[in-house]
Amino acid sequence: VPLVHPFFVDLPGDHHRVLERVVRRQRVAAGDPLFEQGDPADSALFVERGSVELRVRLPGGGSSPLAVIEAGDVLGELALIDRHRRSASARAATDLELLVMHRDDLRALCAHYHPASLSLLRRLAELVARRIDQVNDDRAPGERAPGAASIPATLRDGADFDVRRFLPALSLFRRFTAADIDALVALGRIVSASAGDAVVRYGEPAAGCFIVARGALQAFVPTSEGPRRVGVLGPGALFGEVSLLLDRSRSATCIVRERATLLELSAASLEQLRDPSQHVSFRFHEALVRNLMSRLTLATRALTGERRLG
Amino acid sequence: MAHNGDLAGHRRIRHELLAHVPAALREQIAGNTDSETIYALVMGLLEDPEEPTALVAAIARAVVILRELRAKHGIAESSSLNLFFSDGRSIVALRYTLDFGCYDTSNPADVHEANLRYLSLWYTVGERYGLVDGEWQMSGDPAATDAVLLASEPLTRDITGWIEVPEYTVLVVDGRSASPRIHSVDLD
Repeated sequence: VPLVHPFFVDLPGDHHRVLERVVRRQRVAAGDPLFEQGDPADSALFVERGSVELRVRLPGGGSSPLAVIEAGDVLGELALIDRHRRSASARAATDLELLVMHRDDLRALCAHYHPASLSLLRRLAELVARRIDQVNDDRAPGERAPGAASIPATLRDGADFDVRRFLPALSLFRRFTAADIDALVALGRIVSASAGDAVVRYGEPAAGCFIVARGALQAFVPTSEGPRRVGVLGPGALFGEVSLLLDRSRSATCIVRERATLLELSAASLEQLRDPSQHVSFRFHEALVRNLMSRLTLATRALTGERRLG
Repeated sequence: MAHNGDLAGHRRIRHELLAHVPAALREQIAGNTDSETIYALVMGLLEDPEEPTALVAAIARAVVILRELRAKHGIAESSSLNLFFSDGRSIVALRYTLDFGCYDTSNPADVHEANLRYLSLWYTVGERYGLVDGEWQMSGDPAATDAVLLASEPLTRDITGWIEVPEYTVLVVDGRSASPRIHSVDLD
């Protein structure tokens, strides 16, 4: 039976043959539980038919509805990269047909540098990027007033220290070999920016993404009440990739807070990182997905906090 | 007061920091740690000890003084300044890193994890905190603010009830009324 879930649509035929070995089909009867909040999470569920009800526990007992996941959507994808616990309880609202993918199976595919795993990581990155975009819209709803566009983007080539020697200390490169880091640096460009410089600006076309090697930036969304800070980016942070993945203009303005040294990866470099014949493509995409998932978690937490404080 | 972090170059600016502290307060400083200096600095700038917003203003002023003195002395190494103050009724807590992301570039082996991370600050709020179903958690009315717990990291396995305080932010739990009021203030 072919995989008809949109996540797997249009993958090359040889990918499907591999994926059908690592994706399990599961049928669940209406009303049956899928998992409980707090359970260790080791798999993602792709809903092919039916719908899933998510609920969160209330501190005083009982639970509250959180969302309904419909056919075509994905549930629990954060579990595919790192250990997590389920943040809500899930129950089949109707009879369900699911595809279940386990973290260990995806890891095994990546460990063998199978091209299918690179395609899956890319699609995961796009999925999580869409979720981040949605959460950021929820955090700063309403009209946009992109006044920060007047701040010039002033990047200077190079840095005043040997950046390459310090990259292995950054969490983003935790699973990279020295050869992987060298390959990534060769694809990119080291740039520096001073406090107050805008590195990306709201509304502009996306030309590349950046990894912070040293220093810090702040991400702002221009709202009608002024710029609203939605994130702080320090060493090891990757930013600017969401608009590239979604092929849309910048959704935030990133301004340097502390003098920053960055590794810039152009859109063309990112295309080269889709080549499965080089190991760095796999390491980069794993790091990309992990970074996006971490950002989504932070943005969701921030949204919760902002709603709690009113 | 509690301080989570390490003020790089503290000894070089301690004397000038203490110049902002009234003599009567200075005389009460028994030790020479960065935390004691910061506490004395904030207390010295505090205009009304009964008013949490006055404490927020004192913290904001202390951050400005620290930034100016560090710039004057060429100290630009990432230094966490997470502070927690309480008078037994109210809580005012700061999440702030000076020169975030700036590490010494002379030797990669000297780069410490603390130079790369923003130390965190979390809180959870509810009607009461206790052991429920074998797990410590908030219970009772979820909208209540009778019990507030602040910590550098969530204290329970299930963190869904915990909220992260954003970077460069002061959290104020004003406990002067029957039900504490919580709000946050963004700092520059």
